[in-house]
Amino acid sequence: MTLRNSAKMAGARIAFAATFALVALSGCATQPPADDKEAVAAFNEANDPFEPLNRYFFEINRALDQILLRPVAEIYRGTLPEGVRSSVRSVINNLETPGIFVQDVLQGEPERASESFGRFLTNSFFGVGGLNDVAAGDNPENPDAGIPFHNEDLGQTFAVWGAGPGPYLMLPLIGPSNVRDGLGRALNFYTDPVNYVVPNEHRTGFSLARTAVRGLDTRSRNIETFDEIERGAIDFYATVRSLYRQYRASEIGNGRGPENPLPEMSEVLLENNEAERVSSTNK
Amino acid sequence: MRRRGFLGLFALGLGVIFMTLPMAGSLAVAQSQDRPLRPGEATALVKELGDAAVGMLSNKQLTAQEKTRRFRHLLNQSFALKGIAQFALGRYWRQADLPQRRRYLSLFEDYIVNSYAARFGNYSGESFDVLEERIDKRGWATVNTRIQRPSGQPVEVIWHLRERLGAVRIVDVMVEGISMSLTQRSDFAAAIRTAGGNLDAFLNALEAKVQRIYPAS
Repeated sequence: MTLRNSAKMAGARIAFAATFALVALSGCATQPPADDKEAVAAFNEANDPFEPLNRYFFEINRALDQILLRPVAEIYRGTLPEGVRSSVRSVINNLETPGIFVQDVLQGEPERASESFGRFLTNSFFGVGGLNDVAAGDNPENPDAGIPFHNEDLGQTFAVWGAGPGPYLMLPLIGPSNVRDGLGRALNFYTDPVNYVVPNEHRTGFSLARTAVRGLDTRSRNIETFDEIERGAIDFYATVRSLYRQYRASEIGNGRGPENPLPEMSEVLLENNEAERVSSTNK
Repeated sequence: MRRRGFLGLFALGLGVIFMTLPMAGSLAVAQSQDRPLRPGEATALVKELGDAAVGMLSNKQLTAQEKTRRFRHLLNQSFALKGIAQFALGRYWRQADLPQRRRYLSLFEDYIVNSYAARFGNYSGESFDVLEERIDKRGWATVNTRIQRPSGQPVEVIWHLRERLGAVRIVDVMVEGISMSLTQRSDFAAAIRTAGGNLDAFLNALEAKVQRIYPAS
């Protein structure tokens, strides 16, 4: 595939996103009446104007997961020993690291950039092309030794630059996202140096394969977790939406969470003792 | 007449004592509401909870029923359950009447207990370390812990604690940056909206969920 073709593909991706946005507009969530301030606040908090369409794609993704991704992930986990799967993940981590390095630089994080740089060199040479994550120094006795892998992507960089998430999107095949992260995902292809090293004709195939293996690895490590989330949720779609928002916020903040993640919690807990009274009558 | 008078006075006295007790309680609340946590207090509670939970989970002698009972006790002892439940219901708490609130609080507790009871069997020797404790300017504490799994990556868990009514309690648990309370709240808000804002319909859905998560109970 030539660079021109890649450009065409990006065009296709953007066109796809635009079509999606148009289709989405036709199936908008109904806004609550303006005089119901709390309902409006809840509506804005969900930030999901395309909810009906998103729910539709959510069901499609779930079905695809049940008939394809999950069974393959189970076979993958069941047939290959942990050592092999761990190497597969290390290779994928390593192949993503140059791109992560670029994002670290774009975000103005010299320390993390040098971590990524060092990890890539160490694992490529001493870890046999990334098969062994020697840089992480995985040592159960001393988990703080070594430099662990960290993830970055263009969506996070946009956020660091000040871009808001925009409406929530459930992308077909890809999963939960939002306008900012979706755009970042489409353009990530161009900021990843590895894609320029891979010969033109294999570029797209390589990128897709890397994404697919990453997806398989992630899914195979979360089979029980996902099951539990689904079993516990009353509204699975809304739970996933909340999880995605929080997960991205944590990734963007590089694990440094907000000082007070639950601003309203203090209000609730400081409210009068009505709750106490209710439950003591209950006992 | 005299006796009745005496009894009447006695009853009145009792009444006064019992009526003033809750008032004394609420006065104490006003005073203790913002007591900042002392260093080490929160860590001690999280450690105690963790050790008790690991001890309970790894004890093969206990029946599932006994484990569930002990877990419910630990939950009530360490978590500000009512506050968490109230937060999870959000604005609908204020709209709820007394019987609805009672039903909700009891369902919420069962919901948490059953969610975890369903996972007791998955325990495979996890242990945890306390990494650090911080106290913010409100006097609330966060305790960072790392759960070590025999297989797989360790998981970072942050516990948020505060003092209220003379007791130190956990108000939220964050797993890898995801708040359990906030997630619950989003789930409930959406479920209530699906139920057309009808709280009783939501409570029925919650009750059905409680049964479905852990049918044994």
